[in-house]
Amino acid sequence: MSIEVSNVSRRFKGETAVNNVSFQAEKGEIVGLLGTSGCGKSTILRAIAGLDNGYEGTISVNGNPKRGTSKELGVIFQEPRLMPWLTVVDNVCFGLAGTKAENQIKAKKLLKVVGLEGFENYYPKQLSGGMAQRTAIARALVTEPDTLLLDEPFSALDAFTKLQLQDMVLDLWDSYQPTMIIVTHDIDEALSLCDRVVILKGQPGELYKNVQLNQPKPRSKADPELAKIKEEILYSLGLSRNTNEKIAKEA
Amino acid sequence: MAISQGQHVEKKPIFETTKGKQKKVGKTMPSVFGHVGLSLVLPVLLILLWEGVTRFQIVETHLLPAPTVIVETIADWAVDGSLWQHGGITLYRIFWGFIWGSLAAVALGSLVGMSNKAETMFDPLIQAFRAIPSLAWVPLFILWLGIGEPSKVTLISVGVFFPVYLNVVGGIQSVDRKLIEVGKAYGLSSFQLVRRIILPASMPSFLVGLRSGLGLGWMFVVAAELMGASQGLGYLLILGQNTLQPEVILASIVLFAILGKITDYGLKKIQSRVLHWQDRIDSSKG
Ligand SMILES: Nc1ncnc2c1ncn2[C@@H]1O[C@H](COP(=O)(O)OP(=O)(O)OP(=O)(O)O)[C@@H](O)[C@H]1O
Ligand SMILES: [Mg+2]
Repeated sequence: MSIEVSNVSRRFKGETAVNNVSFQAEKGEIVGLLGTSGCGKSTILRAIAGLDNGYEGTISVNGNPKRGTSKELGVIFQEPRLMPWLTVVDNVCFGLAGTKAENQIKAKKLLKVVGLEGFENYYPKQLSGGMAQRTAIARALVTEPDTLLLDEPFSALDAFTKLQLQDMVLDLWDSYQPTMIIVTHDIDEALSLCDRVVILKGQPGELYKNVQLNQPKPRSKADPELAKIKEEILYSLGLSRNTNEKIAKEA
Repeated sequence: MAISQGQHVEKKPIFETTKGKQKKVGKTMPSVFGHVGLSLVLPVLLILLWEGVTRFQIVETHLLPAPTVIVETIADWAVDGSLWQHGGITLYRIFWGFIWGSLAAVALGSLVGMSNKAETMFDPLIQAFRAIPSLAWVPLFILWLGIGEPSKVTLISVGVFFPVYLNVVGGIQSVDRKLIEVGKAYGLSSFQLVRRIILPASMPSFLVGLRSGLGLGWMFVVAAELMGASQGLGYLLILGQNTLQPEVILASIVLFAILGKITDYGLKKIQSRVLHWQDRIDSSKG
């Protein structure tokens, strides 16, 4: 599905959290939403997911304005949000409609991919934070939704697992080209996964930059072109090394 | 450099002492047998003391009979069948009172918990009724329903109703909004949301309500039987009082204690079986 966010603003009790943000995700495109904490990334994602209808502006799916949730949208929340009364494998099956046996097979396959083989019958209370998040990732991916909305899906994971799962996301994309919107703090993550990076800034959050990346994937971290873009993004967020050094000197 | 190292040295011990403490707590946790043994020490001593003071006539036995006399009384009842008769009718009353009270509480509680309209419509009224001490209903129930079983069962169900109702409403209203969002994101209908998220998530609170409802049920069965009954453990209390037989009173008190404990234990077992997924502090005890 293609998604178009146009002139979306969100106020909470008179306080503006997101101000007039517009961007597009073409069908099959991976879009990164990048920005510092509190600039409204989760708020925008919730609006796209249809979980929050209190925004102004329009969000269109395939050209049609919509409000409300839809089965074609898979969401990975910032927290795992597992059902504590279900085992890991039943949590993964949560959104599946088919017969139990079929679902279990699908779920187990995906649990293997996220490295949770052997933990199928654990309850969420027995999982570590990263394991819980990986379960939540499996739960969202198992339904193979047309569009995936990911809210900092990997930020609770160690660097190594994170790289593995980023690869998994790319494999997944290769297999059926879902549209994805990934919220992240991590510039490297955005640069290695995304076709487009939308940068939000400030409080209230406003659109600051919309960077298109045309490099083929998988991308090498050492790509000088990407390094340049990274420096640009850091600079625009006021975080480049030069500014950091300045801050350090002043302190 | 030196300063930062100094900070490290300072920080580390703090972290380790807290960790060490946690470990110790885990180790000194008494084993099941030690636990049971420890909890029996005081009751056994008290009973021995009681037996002693009555044996040696330190207190007057026509006011406080010895524990052995109480046990004998219960044994006699068991032999002549009155134990099953009186105990049975008491259990019958509490059973139906508990069932009707909980059913009404679940029906009204889920309505009020789910719908804001129902809440504004019913809740103030129910809260107003709650403010009435439930025993104040007794004369009215007797007037309306006679002194037979219906008035007693009704009184008990009124007692059971409120704790169950409050916990059902509280349980439903405190279901984590974030979990409901997960359901919504998967496009679940309202009915599916109730069945797959709200119901299991409010189960802990519901079971707590059932247990406190049962406790109140026992209180109200005594009240109901004290006020005009010709059978039941509560009737035996009155009988003991009127015939100056303290052992009869104490025996039925002991029976109340035993039955109350057994029924609560049953519910507790159900609770821990249904809620085995719950992440509780004592779950590591097993
Ligand atoms: N339900 C709410 N009620 C009131 N204010 C809210 C609510 N949700 C978000 N906000 C406000 O909106 C702003 C943006 O929040 P949001 O969660 O979108 O940030 P974020 O960019 O996702 O941050 P992070 O990277 O830390 O997750 C914050 O200032 C927050 O206080
Ligand atoms: Mg967020």
